Amino acid sequence: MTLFTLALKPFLQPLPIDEVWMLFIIPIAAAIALVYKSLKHPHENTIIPQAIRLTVVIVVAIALASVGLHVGLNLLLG
Amino acid sequence: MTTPNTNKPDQPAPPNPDTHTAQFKPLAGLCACILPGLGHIILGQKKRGFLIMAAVLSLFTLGILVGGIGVVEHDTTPGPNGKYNWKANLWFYGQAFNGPITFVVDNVRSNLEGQYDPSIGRANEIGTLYCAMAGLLNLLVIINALCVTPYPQPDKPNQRGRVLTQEDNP
Repeated sequence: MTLFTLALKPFLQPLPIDEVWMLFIIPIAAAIALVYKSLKHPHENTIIPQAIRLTVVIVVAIALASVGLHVGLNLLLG
Repeated sequence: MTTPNTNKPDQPAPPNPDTHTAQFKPLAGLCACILPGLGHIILGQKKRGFLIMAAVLSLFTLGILVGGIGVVEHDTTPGPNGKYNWKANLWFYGQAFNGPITFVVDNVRSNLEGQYDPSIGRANEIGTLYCAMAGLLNLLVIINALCVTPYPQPDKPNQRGRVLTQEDNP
């Protein structure tokens, strides 16, 4: 743990996320899935499993899209 | 040659079985504006309401944690033409749908001017996006609480005459 992290003041200083920023797709996907399933799913007891499934689908779809774009751009640009 | 009309004019039309009648609930909509999920809680859908509350408030808090309190900022300085600069506040408008908590955070931020580090780069982008996305999700929740459509009851024939099971996924 770096000295900067130890001296961090939460909410007053931004987090040093430059190396892990891609992981922040997971919380936003989870929140979107949870709110969507909370509004649309008729059974309250199965909202959380359905939201987890939708989160995985969103994250995997975005990962596949990014890989596809990366490969496509590399093929196009040589 | 035209076909004769066989419908009797004095007979009411049969009800459409696929129609879900939405009910207007202004109190639930108001409560959802005050606190995310509260509208569904007062409608009796407690688990749904608490899940919405957890999701929206967690996303909002995480956004402020990542980008610092400076990501929620209502910029009231006049623009180049001396008028209110609404273009500088587009992200704040999305964040404002979180309810009074956004204005409290903005007030705290303005009181702490000079004591916090404004974020730049990825942290600012992600923090701003998280807070705005939380607000826009709460806008959906407000609309859903305001014009609530009854959910089909499980293990009973729904309005299309089919029994819903746990595997049903809308």
